[in-house]
Amino acid sequence: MTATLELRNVEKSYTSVRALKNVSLAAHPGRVHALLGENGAGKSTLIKIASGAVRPDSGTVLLDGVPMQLTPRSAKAAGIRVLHQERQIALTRTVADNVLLDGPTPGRFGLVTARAAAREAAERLARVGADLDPYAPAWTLTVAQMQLLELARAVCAEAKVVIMDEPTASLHRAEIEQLFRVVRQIRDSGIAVVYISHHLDEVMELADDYTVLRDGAKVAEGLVADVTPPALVGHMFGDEVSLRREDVHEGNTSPGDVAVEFDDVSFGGAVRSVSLAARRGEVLAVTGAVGCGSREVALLAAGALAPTSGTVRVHGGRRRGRRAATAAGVAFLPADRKREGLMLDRSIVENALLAENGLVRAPFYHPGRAAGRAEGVCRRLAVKMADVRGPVRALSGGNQQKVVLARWFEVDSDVLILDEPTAGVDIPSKFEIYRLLRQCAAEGRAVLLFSTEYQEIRCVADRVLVMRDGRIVGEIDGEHATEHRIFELELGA
Amino acid sequence: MHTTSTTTRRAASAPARRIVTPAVREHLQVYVPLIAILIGLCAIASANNDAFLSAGNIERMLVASAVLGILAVGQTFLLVGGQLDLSVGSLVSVGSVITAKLVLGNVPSALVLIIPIAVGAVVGVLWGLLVSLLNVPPFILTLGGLAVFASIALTLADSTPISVPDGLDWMQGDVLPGLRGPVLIWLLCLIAGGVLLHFTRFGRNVFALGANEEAAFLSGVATTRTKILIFVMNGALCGLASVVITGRVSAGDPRAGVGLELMVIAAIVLGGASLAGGRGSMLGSLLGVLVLGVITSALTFLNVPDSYDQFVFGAILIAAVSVTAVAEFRRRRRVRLRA
Repeated sequence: MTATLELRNVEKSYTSVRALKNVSLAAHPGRVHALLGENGAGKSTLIKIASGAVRPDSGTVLLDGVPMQLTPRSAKAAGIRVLHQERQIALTRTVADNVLLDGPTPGRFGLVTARAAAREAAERLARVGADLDPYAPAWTLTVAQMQLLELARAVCAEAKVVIMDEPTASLHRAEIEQLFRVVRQIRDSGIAVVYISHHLDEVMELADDYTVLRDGAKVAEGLVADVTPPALVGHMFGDEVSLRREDVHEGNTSPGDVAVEFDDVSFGGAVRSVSLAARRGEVLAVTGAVGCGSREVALLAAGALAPTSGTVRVHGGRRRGRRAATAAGVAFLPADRKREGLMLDRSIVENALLAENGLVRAPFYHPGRAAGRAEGVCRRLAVKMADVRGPVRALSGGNQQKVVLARWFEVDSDVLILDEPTAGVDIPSKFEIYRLLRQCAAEGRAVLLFSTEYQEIRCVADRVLVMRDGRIVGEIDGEHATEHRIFELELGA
Repeated sequence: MHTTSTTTRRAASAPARRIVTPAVREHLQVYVPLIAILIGLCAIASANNDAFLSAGNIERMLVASAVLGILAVGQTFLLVGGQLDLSVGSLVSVGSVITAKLVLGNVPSALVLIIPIAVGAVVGVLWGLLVSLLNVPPFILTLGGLAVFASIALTLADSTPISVPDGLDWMQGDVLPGLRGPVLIWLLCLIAGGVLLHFTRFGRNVFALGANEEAAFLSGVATTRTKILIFVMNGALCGLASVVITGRVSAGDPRAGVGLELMVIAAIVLGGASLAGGRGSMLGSLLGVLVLGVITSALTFLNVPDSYDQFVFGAILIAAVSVTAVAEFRRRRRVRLRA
């Protein structure tokens, strides 16, 4: 049987990272193909190639056995539909407008009436079993309803392949069941489904075939019926993991005073009654599925959000706002480096001294001395660069991340709050960052690591807090924080 | 052919690369073409008429450019910080009428200077607060202000210029030998603004605000305060500019500032600033103002009818922005290839 969508020997490199190494994948009609792998394994690059957003360096993409040069337009025309992890919903528009985002079918004289559009949208919603008012504004929908809306948009007459990226993130069990029913229905209508998920139980339940990526290479593939969850975990994380806890942990550190304390903190519906204490000299990891509230906890700890109830204390005192927290020594490394971390168009110097700019009261700025300070701190963190006055844009992901970290070392912060510090970072840099975090703890700093990478947590953390639905549902000792233990707590098993 | 020229250029610039840092090169990319335009314009105009580069005409050009130059200092801070104030033209008109009324009311001359500046600063506080606390885009907000202030200026002055025969004499003669009042004020603003933007923490924060407000906020930069302060500074400079323009034309004209907002922004963008923020320099803005000033004078010397002025301004702006955009595209691609 010809595969609906086939990627053959696809390669892709970004500035300094080889994102995909000779990967092949075939999605067949009427089957669900699970794509598995850790963060940064190359899944998103693969999706981008399949949807025409990124052109591979080499290799071919075949649709129904015909080689194609995909662009976003031609991919769509060929029936490839992607449901991205970030919902593509225009919140201020109606449900009908959102379902028909690609353009409604025009009626007489090529005109579109609101009524005809609503009818068409309702039909497509019905096809995925969603009973939504086409005239309702999209912001009134729940996350699960938005998910169904996106499916209704994807599943149209010409759809041949539907790619779903982490569709169950932030869905409840009952909502997941409904989603699965729809996915099976789509599959049975002869569409090829590519399903990306971290959740192995979902994969076991739903998928027919699987492919596992690790560090950009395909490490396993086959029939789901022939594989067990432990075997899949083995493939995902590797048996001979290059980074081990022992490599990073050098002797035990003894925790000191409480540096960051949450006392019954809530934030809207996202964080509910969280209490925690992070001490100097330890790395406290907080993890959980996307939407579990850990990101909000990070922002609360950094002072960038104010709790709706409860108190956050840093070194025993309440700090109002991000600036007060910075002055109290709280560093924050945001998850989205490009949007929240870096001034991409500015130099390495300016990026490395950004926190100093906010803190130092001395009015004058001496460009030459500034470059010297920036160079010093970048050296300490082993940033590989040609010229410290050069653009930060030219650095690799790992080195860019080190520059963001450098700005906090420059002002000697003693509480580090890190949100996904190694997202999009190459392996050697990851290793350096892990060592750096342990070194910070050894020097008596408090490190709060917000991460969804299990291997990272196991390597670096002294204690692990697992969150689900805005609550802390369990604490695990760092040494015993295996993927399975964390999975169990995340899923509430 | 194309390949050859690229290769030669590379070879020529290769040894210089070590001395010229990336930041300096970025600035030179803006300054060199502007300086070339200035020289070119002067050459053409003085070839046509020797008097163009006479001391008298240079002085006239500088005096004529002073108001635009002072406004450009304040607006540069805004554009670098990713903000914008379109109300400056009308605000100058209001300020000019107020100044005239103060002079005619025999108010002490120190207050004639201070009150318009204070009025401008208050307007700046208003913009700063609205923009940062309500999170309203400054474009629409200050566009509203442009209309409102234009109307206020006309109402205050009964739609006719108020003649100020004397009282601002120091604005017309030389304050220092060879240095006219408006030019001295411009020069002082320019130096203070340049130091503030490029050699102080505050200036770095303005760049950070424009380059990535989110990153700056998360790194502990006082983004709200910085934003309000640059609007206040800009407002105060508008007040100062309105005193200068009133003194220069000896009248409080309720239409004194019509169209100035676009001229200012054009000059600053010519000088390498980006409307997206995080880019620009005081020296660049100065060169932009000088280019516009020289064009105005050159067109007069070349006997080009007034109706062509706007065409030439517009064409130069479009050309400059296109050239910058192409250079920027090439630069990014080169960065990506090299990495």
